[in-house]
Amino acid sequence: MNNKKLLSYIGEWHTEGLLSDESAQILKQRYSAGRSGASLAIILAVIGSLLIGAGTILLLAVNWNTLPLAVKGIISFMPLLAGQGLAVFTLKKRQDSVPWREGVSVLYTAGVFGTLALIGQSFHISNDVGVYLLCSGLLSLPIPYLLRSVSTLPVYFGSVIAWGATRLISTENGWYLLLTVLLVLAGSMLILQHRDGNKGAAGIYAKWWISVAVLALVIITGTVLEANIIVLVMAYAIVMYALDNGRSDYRLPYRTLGFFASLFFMVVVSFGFCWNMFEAYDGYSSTVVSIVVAVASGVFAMLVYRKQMQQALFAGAASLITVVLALSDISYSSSDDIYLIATVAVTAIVFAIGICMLVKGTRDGEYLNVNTGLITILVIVGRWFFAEDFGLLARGLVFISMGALLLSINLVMAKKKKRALVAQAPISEEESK
Amino acid sequence: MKKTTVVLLVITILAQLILPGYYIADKYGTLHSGTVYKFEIHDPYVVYRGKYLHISLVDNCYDEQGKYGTVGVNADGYAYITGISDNKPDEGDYIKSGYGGRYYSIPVDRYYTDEDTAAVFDSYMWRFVELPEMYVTVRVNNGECVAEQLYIDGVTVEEFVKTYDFSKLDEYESEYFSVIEEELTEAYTD
Repeated sequence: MNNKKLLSYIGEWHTEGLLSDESAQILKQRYSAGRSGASLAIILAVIGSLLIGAGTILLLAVNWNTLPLAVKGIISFMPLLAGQGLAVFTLKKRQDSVPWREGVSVLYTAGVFGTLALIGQSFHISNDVGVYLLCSGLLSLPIPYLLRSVSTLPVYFGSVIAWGATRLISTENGWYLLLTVLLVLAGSMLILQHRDGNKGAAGIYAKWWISVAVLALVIITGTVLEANIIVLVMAYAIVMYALDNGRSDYRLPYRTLGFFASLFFMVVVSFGFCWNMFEAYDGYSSTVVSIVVAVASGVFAMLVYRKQMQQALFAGAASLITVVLALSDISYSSSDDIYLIATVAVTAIVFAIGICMLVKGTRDGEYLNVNTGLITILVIVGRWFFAEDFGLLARGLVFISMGALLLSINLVMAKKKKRALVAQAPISEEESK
Repeated sequence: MKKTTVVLLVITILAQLILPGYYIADKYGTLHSGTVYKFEIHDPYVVYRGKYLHISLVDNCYDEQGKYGTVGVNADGYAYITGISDNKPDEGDYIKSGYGGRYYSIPVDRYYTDEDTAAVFDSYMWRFVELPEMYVTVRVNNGECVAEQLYIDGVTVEEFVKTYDFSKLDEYESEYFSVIEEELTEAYTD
């Protein structure tokens, strides 16, 4: 609901006497245009700073090659010096202005990256993007801490994770993984500056990027250790759901990322060829990890079943699927029939979850559950529409079955509603008498 | 401003100035006092729409692991790596491996020039029936190396783009295709 609509409702509730003068005043202040104006100022400051930074670098790039090396060296420092000067000015004179802090933070970070890029150009420094990203990322890490800003957090995470990924892939040295984790942790500590995280936009923004960075780390870890990435993503989803702890605040990342991670897990395992892929992993450790994740998911599903249906459904289904995955690891079956059965079973589970969410959401008037259910159904339908591992006949039959199931549910619900109306009718007649 | 903020600000500013400053001093020193070597290159090309030419050294595909490569010069005057080891060579110039990868490689793969030179050169590059002599001069000092200049047909690439008569390529091309046409006609007639 947008603020304008909410303000009109507050006015109506106040007139109807549902809200006291004081409450109406507080609510009006909280959702007044001033707040959206402040957000707009921050967004404009960030985008404006970014454009100025990019434009300055492009202007410097014109005729760069014709300049003497010493001049190039001096000009290379200009973006950095400008950023440093603005940061000092902001800390002295504009410390309380969020648009200033965020805007200067972006410009300062662009200055660090720009200076190192210009030096690279001057000396034809080769294509070691990883080192460039690491140096720029590390040198810009103190900026959000100094300016108490969050805008540049994704730039830092992107830089250090990209560096870690390139180093890990080229050297296969596990120490780089540990170093990358520590670097991500160094950026994540920024959340301590925004302890009112669940209320303030800055804290929520930081939490989103920290969660995304952790997901990227999980995927990189899986790739490097040649572990089962899909099971690791599922473990991540469960942790996200646990962190969400039943809060219905969808601005926080935990529930949304948990949902998409578990949906990703289920859609991927609904492809038959993926089950072949599981055999490629080291049998024993992969099976152990699968069992641990399966047990954890199952326990979590049981613990939260009454309070958080969506999380419990996904976690329970994931637990079931992970058990089957672990069993297929152990049995090392080469029969295609197993994969066919598994594919159909997973599809049925995901489709059933989607329907449950949709029905419950509609019944309780919870739009988040309705949307979750719809996305789940659409994703699995889309996956089957383009499934090349099944013939047209099989896909046609699946679609007809799915459609028939939806229509049947609709019919049952309509009948229930009719019965309920019939049951209510005599009472209202009696009441009218 | 709090005292901790001031301290962090000073440390940050110093670190941000020292690291790029050291980098510049190091590279500048190499350019100033390093030994010049000519490295033969394959046909350079423009990456996307950037303003640098991607260059690949003719001898830069090593399947040996090691941190240091000793530089030697062949009979044609081009530099090449004579040996790779994990220990710093006692004698002669050497280049430290680039990119932090598993195998040794010389960290020279790009040459920045102005936008026009890169684009013009790239657009005509593929039309040369016989490629001109191409090499890059690299300064080497204490394991560091810096690409200095890219030469095409004995002149810098910037000079080459300005002075080369590209209409000659049309003549070469038509001559080349007429020869091919003649050969094909003969082959079919036989």
